[in-house]
Amino acid sequence: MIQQFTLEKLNKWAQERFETLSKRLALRIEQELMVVRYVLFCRPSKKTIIALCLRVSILLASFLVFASIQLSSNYIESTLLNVIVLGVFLWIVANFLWEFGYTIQHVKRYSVWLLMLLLLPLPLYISVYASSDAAVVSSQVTKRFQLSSYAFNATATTRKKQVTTAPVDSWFKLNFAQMGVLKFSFVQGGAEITPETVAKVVGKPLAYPNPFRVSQGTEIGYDLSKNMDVEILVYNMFGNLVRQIYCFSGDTGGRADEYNRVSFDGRDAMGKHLGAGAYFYLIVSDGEVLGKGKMAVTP
Amino acid sequence: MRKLSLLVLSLILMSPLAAADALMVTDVGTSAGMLGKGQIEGFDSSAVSVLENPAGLYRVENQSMSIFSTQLMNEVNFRNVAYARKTSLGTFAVGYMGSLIDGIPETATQNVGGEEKFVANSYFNVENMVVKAGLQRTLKPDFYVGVNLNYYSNSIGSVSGTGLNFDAGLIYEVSNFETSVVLKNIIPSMRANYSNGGQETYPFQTLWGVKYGRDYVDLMAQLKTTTAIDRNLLSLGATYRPGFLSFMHLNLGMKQFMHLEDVKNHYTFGIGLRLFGLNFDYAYEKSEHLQFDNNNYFSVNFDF
Repeated sequence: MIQQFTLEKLNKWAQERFETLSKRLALRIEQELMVVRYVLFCRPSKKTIIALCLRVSILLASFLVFASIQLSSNYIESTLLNVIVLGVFLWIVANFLWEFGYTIQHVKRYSVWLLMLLLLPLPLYISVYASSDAAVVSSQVTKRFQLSSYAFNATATTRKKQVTTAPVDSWFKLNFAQMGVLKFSFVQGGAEITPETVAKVVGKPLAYPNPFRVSQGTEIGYDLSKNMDVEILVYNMFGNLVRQIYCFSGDTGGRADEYNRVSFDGRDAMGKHLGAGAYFYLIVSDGEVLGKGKMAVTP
Repeated sequence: MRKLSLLVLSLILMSPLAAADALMVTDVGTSAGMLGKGQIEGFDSSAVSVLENPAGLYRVENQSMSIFSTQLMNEVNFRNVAYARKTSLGTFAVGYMGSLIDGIPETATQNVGGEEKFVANSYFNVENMVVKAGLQRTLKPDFYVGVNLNYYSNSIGSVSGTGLNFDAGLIYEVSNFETSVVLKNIIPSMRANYSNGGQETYPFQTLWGVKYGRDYVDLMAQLKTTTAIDRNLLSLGATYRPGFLSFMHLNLGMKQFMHLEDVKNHYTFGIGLRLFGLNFDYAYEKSEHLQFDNNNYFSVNFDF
């Protein structure tokens, strides 16, 4: 099932803004060329040349840092980091413009451009959260940055279905070569996974005994819908992962034909007894959280 | 006096029997300001210093009150309240920090369809809390010391435990540098005793911090050691106060934490606003939890 939404009004608005901006940009380029002509033909002072070199190099360096982080981060979790990095980048640019005598008015002129840059990661959230019926349990974003385009492709697995976007280029693309025509389009696709194939924990997983003495340990019990590899992640109250238990498909902890009772000895990954308090466990298979529960440790 | 000194020394040097280390509720962080700076302790200027380095209470000018609250994993509620007042004897402060996790199932076994399965009978809460009462004295114009008396209390369903311990801290200023040293739970023989007969030791922690401050920027570093883990944890932080926005500051930081057997790094950032004596702080930190991308923290403190 593929649904395509073309936001016509937004496109129209964007097109009008870009036409206006194109004219302003042309004027700006003309001004910059005048500066270049001045540098080339009017024998400017050494100070002016150094300032210009600095200006170009800072802009280039900031852009490269931003682009490299964008390219290296492949997970949706890093989107916020991207926004931060972008913010820092814009901060540098704004400071830089200020340094060279540009006022807020100048910056305001480019506000739409800045807004566009800030909005770049927004479609990721919109697409993933709009297309999911429940919390996203795993997601991955592939990004591609070329001189002519900037594209995203997102795959998100939710509790109920897997949503995969269309091929990279057609999903979200900001084409630098055609700045005047910017089209926003969200493509949502993917197939529903039938209930028979869904890997899940049947009922609520529970630990027994609970609370338990740390020296005696406990067992985590749950039913599975099918045989599968399972890992149990134990977190302390600060959200730090303290223990990981692997259960293989068909063995205790990964069987569908009987109630699974996985032993937990009350020790962390370094073999030390856990401190008294509450702990949280997740039952995970193939990156998907199938169930979770709470348990408490006493000394 | 000599006997008393010997008694104190023997208490400090007495090695504890093998027992698990108690969880320190303050390890989550005590304010959004310090969390934004990579969880560096000892350089806070409000009453919350009593939960970090009591020597830092010297920065309280008259009276100060701070409040901090956060929720982790949609399950654990942390909150703290601290109050400090400067007197002619020194700065006195009292701070409370607690955590609450509710709805934990108390379980039993039941035969269901020929199989013995676990079922929830009832639900209970887990509460951890610490109350610290501190005193700070100024020994020289640039040398400050402080001590805390800590009262710990844990409640896990029907099992409860309490214990006492002490913290000591000092701060020394040289030019643009400020050094903070805190020793937490300095008497290892003072333990938590539980109603079920169990015992826990309070982990001995040392925090060595240094700050370099200039007009608009503060740079900080901290090394934390604790007997609860075999690794040392490093934190780095910076605060930037824009000259053109004097009421605002930005925090950036890096903190290390344990993830299974490894030490991992987290980057943190925060923003603070100072408006009419009220200080608001927000901090962001990425979460390692599979279901939660980030942790957000808020704190408010009021100087009056």
